[in-house]
Amino acid sequence: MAAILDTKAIAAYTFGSSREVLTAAADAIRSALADTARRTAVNNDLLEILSGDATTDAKDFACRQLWISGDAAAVPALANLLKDVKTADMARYALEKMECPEAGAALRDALGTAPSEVKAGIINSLAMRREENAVREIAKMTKNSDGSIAAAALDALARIATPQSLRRLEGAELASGLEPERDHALLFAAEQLAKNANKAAAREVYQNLSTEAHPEIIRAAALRGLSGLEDDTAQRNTHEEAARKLTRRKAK
Amino acid sequence: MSIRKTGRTYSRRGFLQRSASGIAGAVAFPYIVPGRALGLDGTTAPSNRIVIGCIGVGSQGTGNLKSFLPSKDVQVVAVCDVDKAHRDEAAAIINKTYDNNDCATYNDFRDLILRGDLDALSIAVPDHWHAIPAIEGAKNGLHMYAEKPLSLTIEQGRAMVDAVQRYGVTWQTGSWQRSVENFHHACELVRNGRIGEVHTVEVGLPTGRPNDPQPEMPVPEGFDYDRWLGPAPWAPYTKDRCHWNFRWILDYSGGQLTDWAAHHIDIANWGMGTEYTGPIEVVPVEWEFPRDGLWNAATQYKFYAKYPPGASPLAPKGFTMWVMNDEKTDFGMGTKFIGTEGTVWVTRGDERTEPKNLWKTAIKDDGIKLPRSRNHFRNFIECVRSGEQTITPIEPAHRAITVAHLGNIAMQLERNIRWNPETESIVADTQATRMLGRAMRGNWHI
Repeated sequence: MAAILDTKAIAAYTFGSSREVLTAAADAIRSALADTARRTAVNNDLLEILSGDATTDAKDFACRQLWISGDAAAVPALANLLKDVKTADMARYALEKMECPEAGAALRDALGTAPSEVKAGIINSLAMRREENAVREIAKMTKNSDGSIAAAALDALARIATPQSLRRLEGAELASGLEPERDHALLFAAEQLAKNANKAAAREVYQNLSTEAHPEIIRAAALRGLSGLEDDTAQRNTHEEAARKLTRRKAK
Repeated sequence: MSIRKTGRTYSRRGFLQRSASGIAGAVAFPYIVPGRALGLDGTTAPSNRIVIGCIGVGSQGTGNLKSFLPSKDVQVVAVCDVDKAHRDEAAAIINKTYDNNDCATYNDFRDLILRGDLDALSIAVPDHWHAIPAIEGAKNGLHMYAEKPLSLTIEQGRAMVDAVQRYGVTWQTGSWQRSVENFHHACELVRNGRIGEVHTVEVGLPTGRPNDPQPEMPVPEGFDYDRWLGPAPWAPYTKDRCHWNFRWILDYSGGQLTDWAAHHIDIANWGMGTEYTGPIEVVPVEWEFPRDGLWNAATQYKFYAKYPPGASPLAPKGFTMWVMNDEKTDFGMGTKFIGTEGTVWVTRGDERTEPKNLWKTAIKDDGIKLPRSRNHFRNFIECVRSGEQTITPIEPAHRAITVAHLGNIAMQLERNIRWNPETESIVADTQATRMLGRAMRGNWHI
């Protein structure tokens, strides 16, 4: 199918000028969403903008549109943008929500090749996608000297929330000062496990976190988590009351 | 009240008590503790005050700050804003109130949260910044009074609800209409079946307006623009992007629709008892997004949300909620409940019922009574002390703004959206599903 978008005009767009050309393009893209052939054609137009010498503003526009319309065919061009600090964020904007496994694979591969400045963001996108295949690579980063990367890795293992990621989270070697973050991450992981019908694993995490070895806010949250797992009302109330005492005993 | 910091638990009151003991024991020094400091003059002793830090002190945040300052049992000790002019101005107001120079100022909200002496936060930042400090605040055990609309996206809203519930902190949404008499009475009338079975609710919200393309401008001195953008995509600075005007740009907000849905859809849900559920379908009817200029949020909008039988105890056959800008209603702004036996319309400072004398009727003691508050800020402080739920908890705020977010998605895609309110997922529409959340810039994440 021939080009649908006015790629030349879009590629020249810069902030501050009229964006009517972008609005017209967005209209065309929206009307193509339900038609596979037309969607492929507009996506190809967007990829032409991404791979050419279009302005940064035009490439931003293309990434925003691919957030909605993009598919596996767009992944190689977007993966290329992950290598550049200036374009990596918008590449993730398009890739993070794509359902295709190719998007996850591109993000995972970028962990080894992208500049360190964008790695935390890539980990965050893998986390939001719950990329199980990235657990091993992410787990290696919990001890990264860049605190933002290490913290992102901990949170990602929690959000992915598979038995494997939980094991990695519990056993992770941590960068200095990140121990409290692991407690929060474990709470989050337990919550996800419970939501995903793995109550036994969630219960074990909560029980461990409810001991006196942990700060009160963690213990209280763990007790609340245990309460949520209970079918028995009396047991639920016991946990709730214990949590309340922990958080309120110093209340004014 | 305990504050977690670097994995240990600190007690602010314990610290103050130890300090006080030290003073009492230092008999060699003629140190006189003012009665005010001990609460002997009828004020609240410092150790019993709710200590607040404010994140975001632009016009809305400063207004909220001023509402906390008169309370004798509250002490505002710190402000944070990425605009130095804003934070300096807010600090000056606080220092003048307390007649000292103690208010600390921060550019980074994380530094404020980690002070270790706070009990609560007042958060009034642009919508794209709502989720991150709220989740960090919850992780640090801080109670929060936070501005509406709750979230930028449904995904972020759910993350906020989960965090607040996980850590058991008190949350008040700035949807203050619940603390106003006429809104409360209107909702109680509906809840008590005074207009019969409700089949339709109409919500009127402000009309938006477009602007022209704006030139890139130099970032003003003292304004940390990169941090203002925060998790949003990078964009050139121009004056009309920031501060109050963030509302009209979809990267940061959802326009007049989301700004006011957090008030009038919230009231609709309160009256209908649908605060913990949602519609099953959202249908766009009319919309207009600016085709040029900086602002791109809908200026004209009209959609309806279909609620199934059972969603509301007042609508056994289900009901339809219409949401539209005020030019499209016959009542302007507000919330209008339409039942088989009458109507109730309520807005700020006005109300109307059919039959007319319905408004004057009282709810008997054995009727359905909604929680009551007549001061939104005091309700928050009292709930921080008691551990009770505020008048506007976080989950209803999330459910109210979800309707508006779904409306925006439906209008942008120009198609019906089917919604599962139990799983909070869009049914059989992958493109719309993507719009439930957005990747965050840089290292920011929820």
